[in-house]
Amino acid sequence: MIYVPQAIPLTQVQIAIRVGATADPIGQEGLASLALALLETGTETLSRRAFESRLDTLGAHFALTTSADYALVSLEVLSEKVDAAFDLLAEVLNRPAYDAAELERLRRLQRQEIIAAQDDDRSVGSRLFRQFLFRYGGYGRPNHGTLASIDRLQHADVVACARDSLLRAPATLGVCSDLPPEVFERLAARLGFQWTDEPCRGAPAAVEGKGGLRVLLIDKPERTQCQSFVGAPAPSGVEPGPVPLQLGNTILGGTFTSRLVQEIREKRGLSYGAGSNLNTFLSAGYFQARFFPSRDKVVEAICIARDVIDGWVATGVTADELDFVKEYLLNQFHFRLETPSMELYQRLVNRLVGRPTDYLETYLEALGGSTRESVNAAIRAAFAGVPWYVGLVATADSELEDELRARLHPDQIKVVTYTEELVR
Amino acid sequence: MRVLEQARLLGRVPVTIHELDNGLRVVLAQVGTKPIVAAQVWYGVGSADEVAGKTGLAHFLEHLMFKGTEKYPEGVFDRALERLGGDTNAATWLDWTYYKVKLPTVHLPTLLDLEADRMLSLKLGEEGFNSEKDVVKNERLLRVENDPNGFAEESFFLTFFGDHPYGQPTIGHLADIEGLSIDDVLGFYRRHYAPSNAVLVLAGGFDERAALAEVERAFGGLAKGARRDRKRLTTLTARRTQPRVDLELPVAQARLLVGYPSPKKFSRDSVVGSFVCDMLLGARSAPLHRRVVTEEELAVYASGWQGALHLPSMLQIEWLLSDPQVEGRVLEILAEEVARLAAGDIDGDEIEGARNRIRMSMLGLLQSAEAVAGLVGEMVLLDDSVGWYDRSEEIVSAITRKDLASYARRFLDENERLLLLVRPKGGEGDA
Repeated sequence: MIYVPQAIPLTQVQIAIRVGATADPIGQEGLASLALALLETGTETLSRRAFESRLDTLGAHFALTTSADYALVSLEVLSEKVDAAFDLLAEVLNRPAYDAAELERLRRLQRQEIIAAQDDDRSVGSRLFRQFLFRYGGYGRPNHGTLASIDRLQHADVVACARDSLLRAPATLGVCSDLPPEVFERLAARLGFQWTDEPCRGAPAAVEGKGGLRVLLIDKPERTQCQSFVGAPAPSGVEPGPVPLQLGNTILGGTFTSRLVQEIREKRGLSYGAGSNLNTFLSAGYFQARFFPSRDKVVEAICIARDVIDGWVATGVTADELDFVKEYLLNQFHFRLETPSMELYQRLVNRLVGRPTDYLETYLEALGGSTRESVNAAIRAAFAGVPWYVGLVATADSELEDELRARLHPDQIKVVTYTEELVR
Repeated sequence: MRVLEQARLLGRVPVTIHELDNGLRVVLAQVGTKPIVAAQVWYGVGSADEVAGKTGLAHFLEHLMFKGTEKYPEGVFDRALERLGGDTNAATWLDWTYYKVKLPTVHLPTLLDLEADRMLSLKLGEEGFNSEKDVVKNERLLRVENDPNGFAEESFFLTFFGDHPYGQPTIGHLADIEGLSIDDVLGFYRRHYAPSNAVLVLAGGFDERAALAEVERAFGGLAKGARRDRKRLTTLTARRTQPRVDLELPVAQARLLVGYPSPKKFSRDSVVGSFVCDMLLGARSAPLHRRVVTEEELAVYASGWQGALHLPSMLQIEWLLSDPQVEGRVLEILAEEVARLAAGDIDGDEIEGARNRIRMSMLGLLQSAEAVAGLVGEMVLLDDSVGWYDRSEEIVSAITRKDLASYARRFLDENERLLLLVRPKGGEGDA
C-alpha cells in the first residue's frame, strides 16, 4: 500500500489494477473500459439505482477509469464514512451483477460520448495524432474504443474481461487519509485483489521506422484556429535516467519563457499558447509540442516549431539555460507534492509507468547531477534520426495541402476527416 | 497597519486580514507546513467595469501586466519568477482580476518587489503591445469563433443579462479588441490598479511577522489610489432580452442551456441555490441526472451550478442532448422536479447526500495553499471578510426541505428563465 497521511478528515483511495486498454484484443478496443464501467451498474444484491443511491447518500465520489497501462478505481469520502463506503466497494468488486441490459445502456452511452468528443478540437487532434504517431498500434489504440469496436463487443467478452482479467490482475492500493494505515489494511483485505507494491515491469518497444516526416491533416469544417502538434516517439517509463530528458524538454517548451513559447507566442503572437511535454507509458512514450494558430498562420507556426525543435536536437541546450531550468525545477519540487492527494498520485503513477520506488526521493539528486553533456546526450539519444510527425486540425483544401508539401517536404500527407475514428 | 479580522476557516486554517495605511488589504493564511507560498494579488476591477466599445480592456490589461516596467523590463519579470520556481498566471472575470504565483517561501521578498513594482509602474511599448493584441485575438478566435460551446455561452450571457455589463464578454468583442490603444489600456490601469483597490493574499507555510514586514517594505510606500465605485452597476437592471435562443452550429451533439435569475454571491439564498444544484444534478442518483441521462437516455451529460457573480447572478443547468428533439421531454422532467422541490417532496437521503458532498468539497479546498488563496482573495475583495466560508457551512448544515421549497418557488420560475438550444448544423452528428 502507498499511504500518505493528511490532516483533514477526508479519505482518498486509489486502486490501480494492472490491466489497461493496451490489453484489449485487436478489433475489441474499448473492452476494458466497458468491462470496468459494467462493475458499477449493480450487484447481486443491489440494483444499480440502489447502489448509486447508497453511495450518493454518503456523499462519496466514485470513479472507474481506464488508461493505457492500468485501470483505476477511485473513491473519495468523508473519513467518518469510510467503513460504509468500503462495504459498497466490496459489494461492487466481489458480487457484480453483469446485467446484460445495463451493458446495452452503457454501450449506447459510450457511443454518445465518443460522438460528443468530436466537438472538442483539442481532444480530436490529440487522439488522432497519438494514433498516427503510434501507427494505430500499441499506445495508439483508442482507450474507449470506436463506434465500430464498441458494437462488436459481446456480453460474454465484457464479462470475461471484468471477471477473469480486471478483477484477477495484481493491484496496488493507494490511500491518503487522516485515519491510520492499519484501517485500510483491514478494509483492503475485503476487496479480493492480489495486492502488490512492486513497480510495473515492461520492456521498451522498438521505434518503428527511421527518420522522415509524416503529416496528418484532420479535416474539420469551419475552423478558424488549428490545433497543431509536432511529435516523435520518446522513451518509456522503464528506461533509466529520465531526468536529463525532462530538463531538456522544460528548456524547449515547459515554461512561459521556454524556446517554443518565446518564438511562437511572445515574438510573433501566432498562438495563444504553446508548449511541449513528454508522455510516459510502461513500454513506450511520446514527445509532443502543441500550439493553436489561426488558419492563415498555421504552416508558418509549424515551420517555426520544427526549426526550434531541430535546433534543440542538433545543438542541445546552453549552460545558462540548464542552470536556469535546474533552479526552476528545484524550486518547483515542493509544489508537485503540495497536497497529500498530489503526492499519492505522483507516487502511484511513477510506480505504474515502471519508475523505481525511490524515484521521488532521488529526484533532486538526479536533477543536481545532470550536466549539459548528459542533457544533450539524452536529447540526441531520444530524438536524433527518429521519425517525426505533424498533426493539425484544420479545414482541408488543396491550398493548405500544397503549402504543407512546399514548406515541410513531408514523406507522407495523410488527410482524414475528424470523424475518422468513429468508424474504424 | 491595522488588523481587520482574525478567523479560522472551518476551525482549521488560521487567517488574518491586515490593512496597510495606503489601503492595501493583506490576507495571511497558514496552510500546511511546507515552506511554500501561494501569492495572489486581486484587483477590484473586472470586465463589468468596462464601457461600451471598450470591451476586453480588463482582460487585455491582464495580459499586458506581464510585459514589464522601467525597473524590470520586458521578459525580466517572467524569467525572474520562473528561476525562483514560480508558476505565474492570471485571470479576469466580470467582478475581478487576479494574478497568482506559487513559489518557495524563501523567495517571497523578490516576488513582493515584482508585484509592488507592476502595481503602479507598468510600461508598454508599441511592439509588445501589438504582439500581445495578436495573442488576445487568437485567444478569442480559439475560445469563441472556433468553439461552438464558447460561442453558445457568449450568446447565452448576452441574452440573459440584456443591457447589464455582465452580458458583455470578458474577452471582449473582436472589433473592440482591435480598436484598443495603449492609451486606453494605461488609462484603465491608472484608474483601477492601486493599493486601495487591491487585496494581497499569502497562503502557505511562512512566518507571519517576517512576511508582513516584507509586505510593508515592498508596498507601504505606494500611493493609495481609489477603491472601485460600483454604484453605477448596482442601479442597472439585468433582464433577458428574449426567453429563448436557437442556434445551429457545427457540432455533433445538441446542447440545452437553462438559466434562471438567481441571488448574488455572499447571500444566504446563493448557498441554497448551490445546494439545489448539487441535489438535482451533483451525483448519478440526482434526479435530473438519473432520469434524463440514465433512465430515459435523453442526454449524455448533465450539470448545473449557481453562478458566483457579485451583483445579479444566474443558476445555470446544461445537458448534452442525445437529439435536439428530446428538448421537450427534458423540460418536462425539469418542471416535474422543480414542482417536487417546491412542494417539499424531497427524500431525506437526497438532502443528506448533497450536504455530505458539499462538506467534502469545502474541506478538500483547505488542503491546497493556492485554493485557499483564491477563496480568501475573492471573499475579502468582494465581501470585506473571510467569515462567509464558515457562514456558508452553517447554512449548508441547517438547510431544510422548507428552505429548498422556498428557493424553488422564488427563483426557479419558468416565466423568467432563458433557454438556449444548440442544434447540429446541416446533418452533422449522423456519423
